[in-house]
Amino acid sequence: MTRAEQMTFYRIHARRLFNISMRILRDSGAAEDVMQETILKYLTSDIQPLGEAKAAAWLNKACIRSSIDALRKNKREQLFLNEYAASEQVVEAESQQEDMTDVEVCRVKNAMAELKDPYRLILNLVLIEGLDYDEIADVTGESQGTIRTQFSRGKVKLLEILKRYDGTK
Amino acid sequence: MMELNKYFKDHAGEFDDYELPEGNEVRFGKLLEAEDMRKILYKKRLKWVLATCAAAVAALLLVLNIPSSDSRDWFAAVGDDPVEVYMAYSQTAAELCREIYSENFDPSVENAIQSLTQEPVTMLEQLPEAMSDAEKAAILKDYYGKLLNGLTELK
Repeated sequence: MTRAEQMTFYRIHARRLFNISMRILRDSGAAEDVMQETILKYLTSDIQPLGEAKAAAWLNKACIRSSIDALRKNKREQLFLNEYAASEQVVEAESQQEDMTDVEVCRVKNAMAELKDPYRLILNLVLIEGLDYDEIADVTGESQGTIRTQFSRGKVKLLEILKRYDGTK
Repeated sequence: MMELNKYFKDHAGEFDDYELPEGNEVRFGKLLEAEDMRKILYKKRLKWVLATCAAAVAALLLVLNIPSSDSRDWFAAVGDDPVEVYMAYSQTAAELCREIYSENFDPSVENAIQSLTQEPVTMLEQLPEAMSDAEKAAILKDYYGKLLNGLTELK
């Protein structure tokens, strides 16, 4: 690729990948670093030129993986507390009334931002990035059981926050 | 009633609302330049390593008065794994040395044998890490092939 082609490629993918990384890292400097390293890795790798959809999927996965690695490095501890997860019962979020009709996106974003990790991370990966439990287990190194538990709990917490917002309307 | 999963699916595109930081394209351009520079330095280092090896082997063969014969294909059965190339070289060199030492051994070639077989730092360790296995294997086959030719001449 020429320099001009590389920059065009960058412009196509940069914003999307930056958003993926920001949602995980919540630090624009770190998110930009991860986003740029991800695109650079693709441009300098031996991967055959992929079609647009496959390239986007590859970049998304690589960006998520690198963002989680960066998050883990920053926290210097496990993202998930397996012992804690195992000791509590799984809460069936589906049993709660999840009526999201007419909920504004900005309120949901604020509620997501209020969530603590790992709930915020898991909900982000499942609901926004569209990963399944297998993929999340692969990227985070956590067991599927832990991920399911944290996802269920995370949904409950999110709905509680949204209910609280409703109460202050 | 809309549940959570469906809500996020329906509003998928609306969560990408962070704007790229100012100057991000300039910073990425600098990363690309740094990458180009790294590749140039890598090629320069590779050329230096190859030139040094070739000079060392040529000088050694010259000093030992050993004609540089065409390389036999010592590594015909070895693939592109540099470690396998090195192990094949070690084994063949050991066999050649056994033959040299057993057949009317001439002590005057002892120094030549030492020069051809001793490596304080193996060629494999000297090659840049960033080089691919195939590239490393090709260089090692050429380098160790010449050394094995030298040992053959001493027999």
